Amino acid sequence: MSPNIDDERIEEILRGLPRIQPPPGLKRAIYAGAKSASSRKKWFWATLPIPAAALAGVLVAVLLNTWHKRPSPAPLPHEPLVVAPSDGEVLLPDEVEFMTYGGEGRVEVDGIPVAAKQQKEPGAFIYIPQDLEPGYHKVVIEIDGKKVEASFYVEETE
Amino acid sequence: MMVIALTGFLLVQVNPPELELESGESQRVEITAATIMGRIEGFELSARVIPEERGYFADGRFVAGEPGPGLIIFEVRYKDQVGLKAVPVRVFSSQEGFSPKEAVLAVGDTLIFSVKYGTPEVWRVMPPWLGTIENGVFVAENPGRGVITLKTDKGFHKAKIVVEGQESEPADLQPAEAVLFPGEEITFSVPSSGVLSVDPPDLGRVKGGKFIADRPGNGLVWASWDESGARKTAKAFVRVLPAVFLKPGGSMEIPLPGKARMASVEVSGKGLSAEISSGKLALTATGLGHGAITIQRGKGRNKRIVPYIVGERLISLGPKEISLSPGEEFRPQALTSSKDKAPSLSFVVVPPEAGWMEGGVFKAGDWRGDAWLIGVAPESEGGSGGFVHLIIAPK
Repeated sequence: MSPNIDDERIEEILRGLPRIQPPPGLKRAIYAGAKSASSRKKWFWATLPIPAAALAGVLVAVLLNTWHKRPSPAPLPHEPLVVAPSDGEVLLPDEVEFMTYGGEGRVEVDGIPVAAKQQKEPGAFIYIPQDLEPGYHKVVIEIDGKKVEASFYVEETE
Repeated sequence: MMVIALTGFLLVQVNPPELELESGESQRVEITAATIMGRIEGFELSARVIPEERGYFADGRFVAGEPGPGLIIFEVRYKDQVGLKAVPVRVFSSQEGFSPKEAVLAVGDTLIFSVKYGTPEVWRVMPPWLGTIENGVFVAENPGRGVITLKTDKGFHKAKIVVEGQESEPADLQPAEAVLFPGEEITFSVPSSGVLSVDPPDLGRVKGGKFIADRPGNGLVWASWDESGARKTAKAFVRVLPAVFLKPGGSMEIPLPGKARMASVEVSGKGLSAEISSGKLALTATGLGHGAITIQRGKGRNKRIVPYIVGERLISLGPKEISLSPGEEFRPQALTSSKDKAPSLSFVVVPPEAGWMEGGVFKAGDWRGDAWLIGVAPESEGGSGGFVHLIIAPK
């Protein structure tokens, strides 16, 4: 049976039936429902690239991470090292500098912490105390369980 | 002494293991490498100097650059193995024109040091008990090792000296470090035959085994004594904190470093007058009171704050000194003997931005640097009081 023959048959049956109006609001409800289904379908297709891109990003990240974790030379171990004035040394104010290698140490001059300046070389730090007055000072440097203490004398420059 | 570093499977040896040179000097450095199977030849060697201005390494020699501490990092590569060795370096300013640079003499000997360039300003013997020096003439007094330094208007020079004889053996002095306020005293554990001396001499007085602090500043207390036929020498580091306690009518003079001699001084609070004259800060207590002395040179930088109390008695507060990070708190307490009645103290924070007191507890503010807590009893009770030194720094 072709679609046209079906349509004609349907029209013939309907002609024999009394015409009844649908309940108020039904047409609008059917339209709204149909529109909603259509828009959901569009949203799904429109947003599909987002999870796809995210998935691709995750895959790239995993690949990069794996690449970075390729077997590489192990970090070179070294003993903690302190370069500081020897005990009893006499220095000019601008000669007072300390250095640690093997990590950032804790440096205190007369009980006051001194901030570290990281060097280009990994694990190397330089510490320069500010505004040291002439006279005796004591430095305590601790790094990875190693402790170095020295008292030194800062000569007056003016 | 050879230092050996085990790095992976490569052993790296560097000789000398430490370097001390003057700017412009150079020194040959030998590097040898070995695997666990034995010494290797034909390895690749690279060297880097940190910081770069300290010098450079070329053709097996280190050439010293600008003065200061540094490191030479030697990296040795052999097949797929790597070895690393860090060598400490200290570069000193040039000593050209100063002589002698080294000397060995006996007790009682005299030695003349001279400098070709510049006008001599300050001669110094370190440690001070080794001998005396005046206008470049050194007189050896006690056996030991040390340095003679000279500051001229053009540079700074050092010479190593050895005074021969039976050298004293280094010993421990207890406590090895002491923190005091002017007027406080500390007793060191020395045998009854022990003799104490202090450097600089005007930092305080010694009496038997005691050191009594006279003025703010840092110094060394030396002790020497005979034990089982041997001479022992020991030292302790003392810090006399820059806080001033005076009784009404009392006075104090604090020597100022060069830069501060041109400074201005201001007293905020009552009971004290201050002026700078002849390179010294002269303080006179006029009546009961407390506050802060601000010594400032120029605007902003080089500002020092010294807290003061003029009262009947200096009360020891615990702790004398405390390190805090912003937001941390502690409760200062008067250290009194059990028979004394604990004084009721009110506290002042100097400078006020450093923190605040609440219910007897100090809370550090968003501040970095040193600050003070002044605890004072009511003037009706004599205005006695004490100090706590606060070191506030983020951890």
